[in-house]
Amino acid sequence: MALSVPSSASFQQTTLDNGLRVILREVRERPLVGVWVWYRVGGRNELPGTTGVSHWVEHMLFKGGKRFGKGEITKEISRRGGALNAFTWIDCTAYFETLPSSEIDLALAIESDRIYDTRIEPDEAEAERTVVISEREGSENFPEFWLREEVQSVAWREHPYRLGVIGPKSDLRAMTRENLYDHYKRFYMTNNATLVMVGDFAAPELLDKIRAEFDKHPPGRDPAPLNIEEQPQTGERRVLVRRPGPTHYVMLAYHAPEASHADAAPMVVLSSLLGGASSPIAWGGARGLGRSSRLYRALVDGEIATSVSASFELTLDPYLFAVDATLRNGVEPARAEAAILQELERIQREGVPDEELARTKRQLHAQVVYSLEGVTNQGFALGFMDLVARDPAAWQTFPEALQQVTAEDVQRVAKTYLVENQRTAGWFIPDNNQQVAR
Amino acid sequence: MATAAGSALRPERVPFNNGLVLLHNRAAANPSVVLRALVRAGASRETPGEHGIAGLTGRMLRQGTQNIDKAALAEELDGLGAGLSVDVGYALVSVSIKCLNGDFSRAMEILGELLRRPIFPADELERLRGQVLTELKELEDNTRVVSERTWRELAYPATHPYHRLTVGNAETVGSASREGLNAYHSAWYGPNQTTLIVVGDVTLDDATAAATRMFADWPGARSERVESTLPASDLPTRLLRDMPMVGKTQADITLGLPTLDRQSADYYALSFANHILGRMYFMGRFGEKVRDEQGLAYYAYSELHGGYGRGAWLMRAGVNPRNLDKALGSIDTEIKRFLADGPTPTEQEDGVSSLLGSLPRQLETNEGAAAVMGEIELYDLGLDYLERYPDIVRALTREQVTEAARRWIQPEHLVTAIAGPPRP
Repeated sequence: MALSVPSSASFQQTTLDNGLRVILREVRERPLVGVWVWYRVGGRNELPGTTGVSHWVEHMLFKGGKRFGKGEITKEISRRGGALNAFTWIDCTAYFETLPSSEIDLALAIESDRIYDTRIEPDEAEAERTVVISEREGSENFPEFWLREEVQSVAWREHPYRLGVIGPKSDLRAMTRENLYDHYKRFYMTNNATLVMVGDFAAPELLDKIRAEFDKHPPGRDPAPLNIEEQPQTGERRVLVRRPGPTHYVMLAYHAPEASHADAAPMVVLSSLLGGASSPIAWGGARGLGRSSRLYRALVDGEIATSVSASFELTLDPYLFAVDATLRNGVEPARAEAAILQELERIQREGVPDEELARTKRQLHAQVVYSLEGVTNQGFALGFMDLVARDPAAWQTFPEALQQVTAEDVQRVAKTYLVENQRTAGWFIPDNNQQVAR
Repeated sequence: MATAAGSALRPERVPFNNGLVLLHNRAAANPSVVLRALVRAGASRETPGEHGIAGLTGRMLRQGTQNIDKAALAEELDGLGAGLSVDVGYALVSVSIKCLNGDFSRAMEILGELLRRPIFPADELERLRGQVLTELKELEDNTRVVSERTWRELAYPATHPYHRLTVGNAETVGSASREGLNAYHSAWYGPNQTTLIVVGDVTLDDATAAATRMFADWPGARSERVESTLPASDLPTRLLRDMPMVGKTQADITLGLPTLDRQSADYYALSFANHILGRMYFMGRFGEKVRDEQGLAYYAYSELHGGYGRGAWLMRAGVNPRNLDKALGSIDTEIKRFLADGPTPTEQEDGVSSLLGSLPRQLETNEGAAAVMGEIELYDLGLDYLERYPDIVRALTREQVTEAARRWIQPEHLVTAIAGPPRP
């Protein structure tokens, strides 16, 4: 069977005079359209003291501008049967609406207002402070959150990836409306954004509408490139988190290449082989895959962990390959760590049989197909891959590259990246007698 | 309003002589298929002392059958790129396989093997038992879960399955036996308790042929309907319980009461009231007041569980313990305001247009379509349900919605459970 993503007729792209990049893909199966705007700003562009500012700004962009007052964006979309949301990540902030294609003009008006005319009123910013803190506190209720934050904070010395996305409470308490507005004005501009639309429209007519909405916005000054280069790690780093919790958790993280690196595809195959495949290019996909993966067999079937995952995410700058395990009651973290390392070393030493590689590629192919169901997901794939791989065709070329990965590639990247000197090991130790500060 | 794509979904229904029902819908936009068996073998079937056995039986289906052992199954599914998931609820065990279109026949064979011929190997049961015991500890560390568990214990009598979470407890999971699982499977897994849903890029002929091969000679299970086994339950008296937990920063609120079943005449009006209170726009009036205006919570919404028996109406929010009283006061005010005045004319109009306009979106994916198809069959809604649905919603009046809310959301019966850090 030929392994390629469905509906290979792909997309059109253009750049407006003000620098707004536009990617359009016609999909006429249902009267729906998925609208995404991707901004090249996220945790990566933040500094200590105002960590979390991108995410807080994202919240403020639902609170009104020139043409839409407070709450109106949500109401207008909702009463037309649409859905909307947004997310902030280390590399980007993205906004989407999925709605009946007859309502396309509304989505364009909202995004045009949002990119340039958001007000960020002081009292609204203040009301949102506690919402953002509440979002963080919801995560703090989970042991895995504390472990991941701790591992990330020591895996880098220089790169802002160490700061994460949500920000520490001290920054969230101290940040001002001016911090938010400055950040908005610095990064929200046509020349730092990409509009991606997938669905039931005729691209030429739609482009006219897009120009009518967005041409009026002048470009801003290009955000300065990030000139931070992480110094090579020269030895393993270890962290312990002792907090109340139900069991032990182990996380092993290794520095790994960026999405545009030639080793990214072999790394995706490697992580899938170890922990099961998920789609690297979009949300969605099937649940319950990967029970033949090496780590599942060794740790879950081996009665060491109740769950284990391997992850390698596509990012602008070199990020992390990570293995996370939730340990069975009574299992010590050292035993779990040794079991994980044994599996990593086995691939480095013995490579991968062809049959197992084929099985893994087939999983990846299927997950990519599943993850491209619907206009929202296709818009995600186009926008996300354009952003992290710096190539709008990557939503198709990257899945194809996965299928070209050889057993030698997998063994080579395992030997190159999964080495002790590049590792940060984290253990969560449940300590239910400990008093923790709120 | 765009409802054309919504009404395009009119599933084909193929009843088998042994009681199995196949529902099929062709959707070729994505070259994949969802196969889903809804078996009425959920936790509502459990007898006292065997809580959690429905979950263990469901999860053991994939741990070895007469013709395929666990490792071979895992390798085959991964080799196909097919995802297998088992979800155990109160009424149903849902066994789903998502596969590429070319693998449909084999996926149906695997589904048949899992449902009909599991052997519950003793060593695998021990392995799963250890895993579930750790998972139970994790759930008891989760504020959302503890608040819901506590709420259920207060809102439903101990004889009712909704009194507890479906996962069971350490004692019952610890003592469940292989014989017990076998007996549970023999009792409740059968064609007369199963609806088989096939949606995606496969024809009705192929779906019917594959289902016939695997299920036409499946012998019947016990015949009791789920709803007939649910005990009656009185409404609880209004009360609030705190569940202090160590090491947490946020408190989870679960607030609500048992209401009605999916087939109740009031269902659509109450569901509409819930839409206004806790869903529409952005988490409804609760979201607008508690999150947007007061900044007290990241999430504050409500949900109506319209299944068999008295399904729950639940309001949920996660708040800092310092803001608990303020949030509870605000939630109370919104409920009372709604019961007094009902929806505004604008809310009523927006409620209709948002529900009808969102249909194409809900049906866009095979999973979304499968969910609606399951509801149609389980609650006898009729194959033309999606064609009738716009008229059902349009016919609702503000008075009906307000009356339904008053009838079913009675403040004197509201139970509140809060799990989180001790109150300051």
